[in-house]
Amino acid sequence: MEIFNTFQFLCEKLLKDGVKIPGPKYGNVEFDGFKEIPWDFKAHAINTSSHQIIVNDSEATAEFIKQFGSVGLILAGGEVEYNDDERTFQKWHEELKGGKSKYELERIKRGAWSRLRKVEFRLEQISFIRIDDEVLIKCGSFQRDFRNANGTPRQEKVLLDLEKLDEEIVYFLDFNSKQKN
Amino acid sequence: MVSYRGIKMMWSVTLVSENKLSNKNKNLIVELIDNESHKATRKYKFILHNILEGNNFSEAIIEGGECAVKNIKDVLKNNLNHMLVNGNIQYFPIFM
Repeated sequence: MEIFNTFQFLCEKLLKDGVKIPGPKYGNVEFDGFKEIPWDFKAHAINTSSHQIIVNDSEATAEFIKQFGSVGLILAGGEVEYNDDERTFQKWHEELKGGKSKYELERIKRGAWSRLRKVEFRLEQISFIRIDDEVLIKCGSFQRDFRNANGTPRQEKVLLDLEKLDEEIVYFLDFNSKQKN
Repeated sequence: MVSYRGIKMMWSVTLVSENKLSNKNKNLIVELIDNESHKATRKYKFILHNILEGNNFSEAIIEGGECAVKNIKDVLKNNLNHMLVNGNIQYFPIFM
């Protein structure tokens, strides 16, 4: 999981001269950067069964689409490698954070299993995706009601289905094909 | 809940479904937790320690402030209601 934070760190480091970082805020929700429109930076494992990705808060996204016409997403796609069978990385990670708690050990004893850690991310592509109202409707993420019955915010997220996107991907870098050429 | 300066609390946020959770749904749960954890890391000195899974549950073990943990619970509840037919999401402190 920590691997994906690295892409955000790289974006913040490499784009800081051309992109305002962090981006605009709506309530407690902040976008990662701003350049003509608000942008978010994300990484996604392409070797998984699901190609749905969580972008940002629905209400904030709808508000910024209203203000700027669209919001953007810089999405790194790559193949992820998980723990080896010995779970070497996981053991190191456990040690780093002080070992498993008694509670975790008891839960595992009762049949729960610990999720595998992502240990490597091989960057294969970067997509620049434009998200507007049409995209939200297409992906079924458009929320008409952003509040619960008691007035509290619903905190629903925009869920993008990458398999449904086409012309919304405004720019695409493929590192795999560059290596092959 | 009493919190002590300098001592961070450990929490469990558990989503239990009446039905078996598919891998796709478990991945989505992790994606949501990961997304929220990432945002809270700097602000709340928040650490996602582990995600434990079973056939019908996902449980995040988290170290940090209660507000960040409550936020994760609310985000899961607001986004995953379709998985929670007769299920529930709860959070509680873990005493070590």
